[in-house]
Amino acid sequence: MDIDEVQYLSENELISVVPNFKHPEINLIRGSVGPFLPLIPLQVPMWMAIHLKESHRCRFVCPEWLTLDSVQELLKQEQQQATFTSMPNPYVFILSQTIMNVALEDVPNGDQIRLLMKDLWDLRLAKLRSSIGNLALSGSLYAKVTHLTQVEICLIRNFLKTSLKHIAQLQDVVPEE
Amino acid sequence: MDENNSFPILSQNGIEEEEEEEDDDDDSMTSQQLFQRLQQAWLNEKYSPVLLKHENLLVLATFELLDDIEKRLKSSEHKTTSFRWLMHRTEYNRLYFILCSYIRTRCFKIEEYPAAALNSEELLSPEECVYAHTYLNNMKHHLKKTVLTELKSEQQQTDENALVQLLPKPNLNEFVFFQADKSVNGLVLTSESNNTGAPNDVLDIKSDDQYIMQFKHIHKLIVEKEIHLV
Repeated sequence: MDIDEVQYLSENELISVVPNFKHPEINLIRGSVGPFLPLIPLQVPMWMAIHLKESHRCRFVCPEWLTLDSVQELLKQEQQQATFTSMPNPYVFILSQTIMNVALEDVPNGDQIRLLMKDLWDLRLAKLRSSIGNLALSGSLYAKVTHLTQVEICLIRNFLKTSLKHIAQLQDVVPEE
Repeated sequence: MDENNSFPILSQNGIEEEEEEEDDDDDSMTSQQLFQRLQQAWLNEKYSPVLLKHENLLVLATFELLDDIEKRLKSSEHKTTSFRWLMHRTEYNRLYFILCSYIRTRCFKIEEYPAAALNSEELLSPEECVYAHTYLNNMKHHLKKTVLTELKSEQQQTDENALVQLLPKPNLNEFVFFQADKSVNGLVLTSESNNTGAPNDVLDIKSDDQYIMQFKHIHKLIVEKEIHLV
């Protein structure tokens, strides 16, 4: 899977928007959305929110996990713990990027949050790299990766799969001492 | 906006399916469940090194749903630029993508390991079965014509069964990521490379935990739908 498909999956997540137009309910395959009333916030799938935002028919309600305070808190926890901390949403990095690309003006302190998210991302990536090394060296049969987000899994999947396969192949031909 | 006095494109459909939800039969589900289960089947298929069971019901139901939506979209009185029409169209495309990708992924695996696919015919749909047979025969024919007949007669190996054994097989030792839907207790991990009799790991998995491990350990759990691949 590549990043595009993670992006696709992330767009199924719901987000609150405030529309500025009136429209009756729409019955989608995944359940009904609406009715849309001006200034009344409602939950819509991300892909719809993007469309609405791009045609200037709504503004985003910043999700709770994307406020300055909560991102700072996440970063602090991530720095304090040696292991991965739990993320508020499995698509947190992709979603925050999408939201800030489409609707930066709807995110208070958007630029600051973007920097913090970048720090968080770098920190987790560094942890990821070192834990991959440990996994490969230890030759253990499994690893618990509960708090990894989708995009991180996607990033390391191919590399990890191929390298572990090669290690296994090499081990097969090394004569037992 | 002219979109306000609109006919619901899908509402009829929605009502029918909600009624169906009441009986607890496996082959009736709401369109929402259908979407979710197809998406899960697609992801499992994508990440698993072997072919999984073909979700015939899901695929047929999705085709039906897509046909239905397409008809409604075509006959819709709305302008093709109206908000409602666009949203239905987008969702149609999103579902269509998953369905196509699911079928493509399976075809790709059949092409990669045709013999392995035919060994477990019960996992294939009838169409896939025909495809796998044709593919394998064409491949054999092609290789015979281009390679075997050019070799010296003593180098020609004509025993078909022996040749089939040489075909690549899916690698069950591949590592996969998965998330548990339910708690699984006492999953035993055995290590083949370890002939010294080192203790095998026994693992208790809690629901929602994510792990990475070799596919052979969890093949059974996937078939039983206790975990899903991520």
